[in-house]
Amino acid sequence: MLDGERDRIFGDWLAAHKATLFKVVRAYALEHADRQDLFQEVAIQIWRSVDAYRGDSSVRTWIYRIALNAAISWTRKQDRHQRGKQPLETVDGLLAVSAAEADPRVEWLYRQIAQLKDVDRSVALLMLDGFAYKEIAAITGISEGNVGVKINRIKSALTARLAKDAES
Amino acid sequence: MNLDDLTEVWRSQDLSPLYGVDKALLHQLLRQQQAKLEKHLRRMRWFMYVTTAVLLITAGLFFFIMIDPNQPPVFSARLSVWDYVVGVVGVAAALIMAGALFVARQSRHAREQGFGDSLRDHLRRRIAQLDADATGERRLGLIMVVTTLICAAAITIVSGRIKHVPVPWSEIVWPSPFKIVLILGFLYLLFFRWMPRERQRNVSRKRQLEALLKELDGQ
Repeated sequence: MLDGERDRIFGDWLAAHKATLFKVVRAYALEHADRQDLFQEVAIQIWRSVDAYRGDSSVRTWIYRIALNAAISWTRKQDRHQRGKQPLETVDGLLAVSAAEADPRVEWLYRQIAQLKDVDRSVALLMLDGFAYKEIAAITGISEGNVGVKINRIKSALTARLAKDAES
Repeated sequence: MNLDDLTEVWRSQDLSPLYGVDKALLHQLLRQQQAKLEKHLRRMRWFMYVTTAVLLITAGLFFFIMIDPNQPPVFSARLSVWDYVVGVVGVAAALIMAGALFVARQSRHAREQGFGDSLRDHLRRRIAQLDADATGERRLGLIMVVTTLICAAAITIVSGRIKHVPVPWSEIVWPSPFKIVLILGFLYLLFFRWMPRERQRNVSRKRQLEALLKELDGQ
């Protein structure tokens, strides 16, 4: 595939699915500098994946899959960076906060998601975005039964925290 | 507020994302990253190909000079059976090197095709890569190092035996086989000093990946 063609497809994907990318980035990186770094990483992986997309799944599913893989790999790289074993190269100015106000309820959800384990975060994001068990199973590679168990557990935890916050 | 309300709130992000992207900067970044990766991979690949090709051509050429029927009888009279054996060993080592390079490339390709795109496959692919580095490809790496050592030593020995042949390189002063073996032996030892450290790092990476895989399977 020619670079121009790849750029065009990537541009279309980015325009249509940037909200998905931001969700993944916000769920896995808490600080703004980290979010820029992770967004950079996710964008690179998606740009490289354009050639490999065969249309077997929807573009949204494909992008989610690549973004989650990149995010989990990034968290491991981040661990190594924090142990001082790998330099971090970040480009400033890639992401700018838009005029839209951050909804406090969305912020609350991100805080709850941040407390989950890496893999459970992926399941939580997919669940909140309305993916079916079968699709979540295909994206994560775990059985539908296991997806159900994880989702029930995540829902119970969120409901319990909602109730606790309502009390306080 | 309940979970359904939260889900609705969550999906509202699709209509008004919190961030905007500097597309020009992103485009520039993607180009830079891709160019960097391609340059690195190209450099690694070409280094291996050129090293193997140079050794194979040199070993083959030197051996051809040894067996060339057009050489005067006085030339072949100076050569013993052992010189021919060394020449054959040099060519064989270079061929094994080329074969190992080819097998490594094929096995990497076959391994990549065995995995899909899911998160589980992504983790399993990385674990398989680390396993391959620790076992199969490490063995191939060793074969490459050993054959390079043998081939370079054989070339040096043969070059000493055919230096009377009037060819452009006959004026080159080659280091003695002993020096060549000593230098390559030193590089070989450096390689073995580096290997355990790399293995340790890979074990730690593999543990992290296995923990993630376990987390994926855990109920």
